[in-house]
Amino acid sequence: MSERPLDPALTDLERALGALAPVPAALDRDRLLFEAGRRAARRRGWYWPGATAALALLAAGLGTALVLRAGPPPVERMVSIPAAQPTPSPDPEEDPPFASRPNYFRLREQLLTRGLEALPVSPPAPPAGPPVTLENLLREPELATPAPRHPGL
Amino acid sequence: MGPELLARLIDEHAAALVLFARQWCAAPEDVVQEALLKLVVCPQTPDKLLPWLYRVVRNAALTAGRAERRRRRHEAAAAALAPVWFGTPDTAGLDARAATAALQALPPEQREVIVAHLWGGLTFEQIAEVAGCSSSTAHRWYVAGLSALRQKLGVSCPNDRSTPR
Repeated sequence: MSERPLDPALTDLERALGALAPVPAALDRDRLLFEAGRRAARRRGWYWPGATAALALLAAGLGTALVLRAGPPPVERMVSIPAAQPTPSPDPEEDPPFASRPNYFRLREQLLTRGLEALPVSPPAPPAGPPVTLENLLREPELATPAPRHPGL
Repeated sequence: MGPELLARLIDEHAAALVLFARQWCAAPEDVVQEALLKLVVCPQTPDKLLPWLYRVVRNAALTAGRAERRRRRHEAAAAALAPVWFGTPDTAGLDARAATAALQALPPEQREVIVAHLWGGLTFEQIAEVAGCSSSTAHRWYVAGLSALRQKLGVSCPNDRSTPR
């Protein structure tokens, strides 16, 4: 049994001892194989959980940095603004644009208080032409339009 | 490592590994199971599989034995509760209980070499790797252990049983 030479008496004892069988191992073979498969699967499954955890940490870090990021430092500048000059309120009677254009509300008020006499005097009528007579009225188309084909009518 | 190799290891070497671990701890099955599971999760199967397995079992059994001794250091009868290491052989030979007692009485290094060589089937070179010694030293411990066993068991030949001294 031994690969090196032994005393014959020891060789016999060696054989006798070798004939003794160890007590069978009280191992649950199926359970051990199942557990081996479970651990092997767990070992192979570390890649994706690890990558997911790393990306989650990266995202959390970037989010925190975004929230806590300080803005640019405030710049203090002296700006001189000239004081505004008070402008006098325009007199409605002397306001040229307001006085020059017809004011409907003012005219209406004057009409309501004074009647038709409040209307402004209209400019004089142009010089009158010849008096309107029937003959004149009948004669005018003849001046402006060509002569009718049937003068007898 | 595939399940076929693991099943083969269990079938062919589990009993010897348990016997090897039983030298140092009271729960050798747990130690062997953990060693086999450690082998499964190894990225690469070791080149020298059996020496690797025996070395892992040895280290784990020594650790477990130290923990057990710490737990029950006041229990003097712990050794008496140790179970028999061998089943009764079919052929007429050594008494299993006497062989167990004689082996337990050996110095640890001699017992370790005998168990690893006789029942584990390791060569002396492999035993040297496991035990951390030279192969010559392992062989010397083996011969010394066998001589001590012969004296304890009172036998010189398996077919010529004599009464223990």
